[in-house]
Amino acid sequence: MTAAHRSGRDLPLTVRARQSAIRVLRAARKVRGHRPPGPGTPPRVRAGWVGAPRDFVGIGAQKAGTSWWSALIGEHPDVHRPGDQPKELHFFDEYWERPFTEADVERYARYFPRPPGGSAGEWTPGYMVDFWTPQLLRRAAPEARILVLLRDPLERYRSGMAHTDEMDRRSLGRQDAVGSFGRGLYAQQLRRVFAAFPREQVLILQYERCRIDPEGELSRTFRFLGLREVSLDPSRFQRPVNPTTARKVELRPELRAALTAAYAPDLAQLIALVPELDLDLWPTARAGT
Amino acid sequence: MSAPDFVGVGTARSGTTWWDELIHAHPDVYRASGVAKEVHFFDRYWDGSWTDAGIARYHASFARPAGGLAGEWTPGYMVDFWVPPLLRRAAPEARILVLLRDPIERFRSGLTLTENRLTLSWTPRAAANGGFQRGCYADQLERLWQAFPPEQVLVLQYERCVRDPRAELRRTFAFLGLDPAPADALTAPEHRVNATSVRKATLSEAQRAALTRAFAPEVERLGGLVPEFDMSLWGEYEP
Repeated sequence: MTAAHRSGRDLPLTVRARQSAIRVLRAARKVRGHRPPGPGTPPRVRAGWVGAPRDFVGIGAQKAGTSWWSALIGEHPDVHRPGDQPKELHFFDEYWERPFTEADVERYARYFPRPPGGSAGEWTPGYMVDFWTPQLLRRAAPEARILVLLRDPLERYRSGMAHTDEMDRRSLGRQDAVGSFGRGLYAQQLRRVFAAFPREQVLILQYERCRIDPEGELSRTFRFLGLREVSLDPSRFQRPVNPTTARKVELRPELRAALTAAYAPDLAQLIALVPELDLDLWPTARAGT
Repeated sequence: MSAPDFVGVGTARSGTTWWDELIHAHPDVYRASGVAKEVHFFDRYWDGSWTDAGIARYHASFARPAGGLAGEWTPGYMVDFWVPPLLRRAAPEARILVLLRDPIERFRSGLTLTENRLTLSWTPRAAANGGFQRGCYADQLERLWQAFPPEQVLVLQYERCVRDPRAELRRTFAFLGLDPAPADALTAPEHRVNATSVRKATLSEAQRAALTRAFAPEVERLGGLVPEFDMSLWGEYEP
């Protein structure tokens, strides 16, 4: 929508009337789509600490266990995050509508103060889906190590619908199904990521493998982030149950079949892009080929 | 009552109403009164509630005299991942029509009030992602071709239809098994702009650049899937 549209200048009366009706309806209806608060003001940098472009940024995927994995990374003694700062900064969410300037680049760098030698990062799973974000992230954090955690797309879809289910079950419909499906098109998303970042700067993990061997996959993650080897208390590896996923939505067999068929072409692209993925861990990939 | 002879499945904001009207100007193509261009029959089955009992109800929209053809064109079918396999079950022999337009222009056109009507409760971010997803044609075609063999699908380029409507209409008629001659007899096949899109939305330079980069791999894949497409007709993309 253009500035002229928003201000209502130079528009015929009927168009203005419809726009104001839309504004009223937007305000009256619950706004769909997760809209977290912005990141707020960057924290103050303590004396002797550095505020530098972050060392790592997790960019995906939604409903794939990223809160769990981000918390495990945070267990490393050299990883720092201000106590009140959320795992997800959502820094780039609004930049579809706003120009991204050098001041924004500088502001992004100020979010993760840490002592010299320390490491800091964030993990906003929507970054991989938002088509404008990989290029902006490249400008804002060109050296950052990029983390992606993927999960069987059908399980991701089911979990995503359960999440929506909590918020507003009755208004679920075709648009939600299309949107949730699109968030599982990993190859399409990774093509945009690899256009912005060199392949070796991106670590792609599989949720199912992390569940089977959390210790091994966490070591791999630490090595990729340039962190020293540490061993965590095995009790830390328990994945806390996310309350939004606690209530499982079962998909009808007809829908499971449709999703399995519909994800097959993207999964074929995905294995070509990321040959080290073990698609045997994903029932949807096994059934679709 | 039987299955439709043709079904247009894509894509929104790409001239499908215009092309559907031209097809229906052919003397052998029929549309029963009360039946819309867009039947939207499969929209509601996103939750897997389809049963084959729906087939007869779908067929009820396509009454026509013997020897005549009937069909519909719902541009969302190609985006809705559950539709191609259901359509195959409901109309296995139907000829499938796809009309594609420069994805950036399609995105821009979708920003007008028409698409807002569908996405009234969306944040700008959700609307942008939705509009982008609708322009990822290669993904959609790959899914469509899983349900229908490529030779049963005609993929037209909107910009080529605008440049030479009679030639592309002849191609369309021939694909549908119709006599192509009426295409030459049409008096005014030029595209009349849909009234709802008169008020054009615009993209900022940064938005256009972001879309160009993000669509680039998708347009390249589409060029591989449909080699006869002339990508020089899509502003930002050269083959």
